[in-house]
Amino acid sequence: MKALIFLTILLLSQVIAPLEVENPEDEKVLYPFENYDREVRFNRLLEDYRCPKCQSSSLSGSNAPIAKDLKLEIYRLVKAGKEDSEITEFLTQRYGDFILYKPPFQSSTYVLWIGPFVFLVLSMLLVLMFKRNQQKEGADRNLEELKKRLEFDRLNK
Amino acid sequence: MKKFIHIAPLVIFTFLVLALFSFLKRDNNQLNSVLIDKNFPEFNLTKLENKNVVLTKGDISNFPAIVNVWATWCITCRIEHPFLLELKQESKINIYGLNYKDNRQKALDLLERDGNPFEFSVYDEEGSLAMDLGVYGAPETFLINSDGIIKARHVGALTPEVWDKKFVIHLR
Repeated sequence: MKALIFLTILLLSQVIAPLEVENPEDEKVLYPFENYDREVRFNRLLEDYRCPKCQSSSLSGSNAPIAKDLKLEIYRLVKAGKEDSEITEFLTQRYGDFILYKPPFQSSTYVLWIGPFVFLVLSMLLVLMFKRNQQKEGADRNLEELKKRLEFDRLNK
Repeated sequence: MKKFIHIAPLVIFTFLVLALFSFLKRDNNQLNSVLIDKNFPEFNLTKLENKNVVLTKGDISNFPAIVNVWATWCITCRIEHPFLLELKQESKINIYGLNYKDNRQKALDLLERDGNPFEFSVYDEEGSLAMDLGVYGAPETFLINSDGIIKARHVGALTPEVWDKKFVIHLR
């Protein structure tokens, strides 16, 4: 029994040991900040910008060389005390609005921003029209039946 | 009116399908460069061929020109290399290199071995000029017209087809 327990522990340690090596604790030192607010801002910014190479992931989620360079550049800018707007300007002047996950409100993006509301209003109008039609049909049918019954009553007097 | 309501979903659906199909054909890997119709950015970097020579924007002065972002670690760059050599031989365009995040010696060895299509190469070890150009992967090629204005950018290998389609129109 003792031997079995020992063996189990030994086996488990083999499984767990490699996991411990991959502990992401080291990753934090890559971009050290003295100021906690700036660190939070930095991490949020990395989520706000898109990697230009692997276009479906944010900078923070990308390991492409260009994403690493941009992370480092943003790190420098945040450390230098730059505002979010200044960092956004720096990036869009080089990589265009594409780098923003939240596109700006401008003539080329009106459809994107207003489109959903237009569709909402349109579909509501459609539903209303449909409803009113149904009601009208229903009302007509009721009237018809009423007339028939009146006729029936009259004949049965 | 009643008929219209019944057809509406089909119309909207057809419209959606057509729209989405047209988006499928778009090449999303070609981002539009923000630098089109702008001047080449300022820079201050050494020459690949001589680390004691500092180059600036003024050194890229023979227009029209193309600036090709390349590196020895970049496989696609080797594919386009023969075409760059051909361009140097057969056209009047000036070709400048931007050696991107590379090892100086390796880069020089490659040019020695495969031929050098460039007037010279700017050695951008950190990728700082590349970042100002909005480069997101080598190779990339920028076209500068005779007024020194950037007119086109191509991401990926520069081929004769791309050259004819995207670049030649700006050279007339």
